[in-house]
Amino acid sequence: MKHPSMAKAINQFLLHLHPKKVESRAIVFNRTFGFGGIAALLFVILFVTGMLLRFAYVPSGAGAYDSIVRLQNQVIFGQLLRNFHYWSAMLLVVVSFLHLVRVFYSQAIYYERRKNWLYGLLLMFFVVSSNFTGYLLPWDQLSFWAVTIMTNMLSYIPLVGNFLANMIRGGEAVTEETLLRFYNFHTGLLPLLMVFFMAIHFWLVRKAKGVAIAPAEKSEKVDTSPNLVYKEALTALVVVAVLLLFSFFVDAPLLDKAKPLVSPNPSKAPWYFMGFQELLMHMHPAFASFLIPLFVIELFIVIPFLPYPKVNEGVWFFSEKGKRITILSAVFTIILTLLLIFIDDLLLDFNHWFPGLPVLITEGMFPVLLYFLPAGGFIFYLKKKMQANRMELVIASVTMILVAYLVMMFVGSFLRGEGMQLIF
Amino acid sequence: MKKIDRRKFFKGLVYSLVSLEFAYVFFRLLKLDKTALDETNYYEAGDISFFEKGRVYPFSSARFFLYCLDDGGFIAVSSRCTHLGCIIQFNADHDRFECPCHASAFEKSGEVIMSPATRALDYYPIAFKGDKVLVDNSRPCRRSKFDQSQVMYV
Repeated sequence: MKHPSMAKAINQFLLHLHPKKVESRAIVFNRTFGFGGIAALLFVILFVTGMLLRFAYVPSGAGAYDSIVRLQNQVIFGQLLRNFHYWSAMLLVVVSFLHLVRVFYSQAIYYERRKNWLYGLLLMFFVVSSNFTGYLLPWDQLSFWAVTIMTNMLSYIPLVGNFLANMIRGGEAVTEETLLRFYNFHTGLLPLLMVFFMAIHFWLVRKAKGVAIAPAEKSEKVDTSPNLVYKEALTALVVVAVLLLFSFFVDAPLLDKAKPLVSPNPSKAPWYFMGFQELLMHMHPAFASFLIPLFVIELFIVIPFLPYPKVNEGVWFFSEKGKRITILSAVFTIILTLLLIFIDDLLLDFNHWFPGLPVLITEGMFPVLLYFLPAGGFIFYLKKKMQANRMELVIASVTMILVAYLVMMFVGSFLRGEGMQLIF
Repeated sequence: MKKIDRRKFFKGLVYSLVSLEFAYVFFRLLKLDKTALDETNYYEAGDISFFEKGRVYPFSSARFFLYCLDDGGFIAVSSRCTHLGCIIQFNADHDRFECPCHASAFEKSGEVIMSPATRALDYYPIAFKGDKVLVDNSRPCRRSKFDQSQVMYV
């Protein structure tokens, strides 16, 4: 830290992001696991590698695939550049999700932090949108059909679905028009919006006096530089080193050039949307791609605004009981979800059992009730038998939603093969 | 409740109008220009006499199957699955259309046999000119079920 230019950089840049002194308990690594910082770092990596990729990429149906092949085979470090961008993008989705999970479970979204929770949700949406729009750009069989499936999932939203899907695609099907559109969203509009909202996100963290920590009798403040700066630098170096090493050895996937007339078997959405695709196999699209996502998004938005008897800011899982409830809910949801997926796949066929009823009831209401009755019963059990308060019930519900999505994503991605049939 | 005076009102009005203007321009930029495609663009499938009753003829590059019913009627069924947009194939062994992506199956008329698809395949308008069958493959017609009115006769 003796070097003058280093001191200048820290004073003039880092100490505008961080306060001069920080609580020593706030910078313990497993307080935050550095998820927010890693996400910001990945954004920078993606920005830089993306800028370089733009020089090699041709955003047209005829040129896109060939330009990627050229990049990989003829440009020095071209394959590495693409791998680095690809794996950073995938890691960004994972890290952003973990960041969301971390702030929720460590009770860091209440009072003065609730506005920032909303900006965080918005940023999460931008991260997923960026990843999804980038997914199409290689224009190979994988990306073409993944985007076809995802945009068609949108078209199931009642009333506006078709309009919305056609608007995003620029037509009835994924075409060159869609490619140009996604390219512009991916390399122009979305990064711009993200920079803007990240600035607000960071500023609101400062305004809330940093990371949420439980109040203590004795608080000890230490200098940000070097205590926090060293930790951040070390984390950043480890992340970059691991990502680069991974990119050396594992290539980003590239299948055959997109063939709009031949669907591969099976065709799957991008992995982070596989939970939705799995859900779509079990229920009517009006529920799977509209009502249930709407309900979940609304729940996530109102969580910090509900009246609670007590909030334990900065305390993991609210309390020891909260921790037990979280684990119990996770285990219960894994069992329930797996069980119902297999039962529905192998035994149930409401549509043929009740041919007189409309599909909205046989394929919609019945599966929903089948899932939500046991889930509701479990919540009721927590309330009655374990005397869970409202905060603990919210933690249980969010746990169930997150775990159910992860289980469906797992089943859809790994346990389904040809014709989307279960494999084992 | 804050009081809205004249100045605030006009300021708000101007801001909203300008934002609407921008939103509209952006929206028109993204919106598909329908007028260019509206001209009926008939695809010539072939001579009427060529098609045998009860058989399905694939026109994969034009994205439809022409089914000649047992009573001599024609229906042009879209090859795009109504579930999530994959391209269906005709399975001659099972005598039905099957989707490779999620195992939906359809009758030759486009009616759903097996979910997850919830509605019948789209069909295209057909016209007869001279002794040719013409299919308007730029205008898919949505339907939930097959009915006789969708079948065209010479």
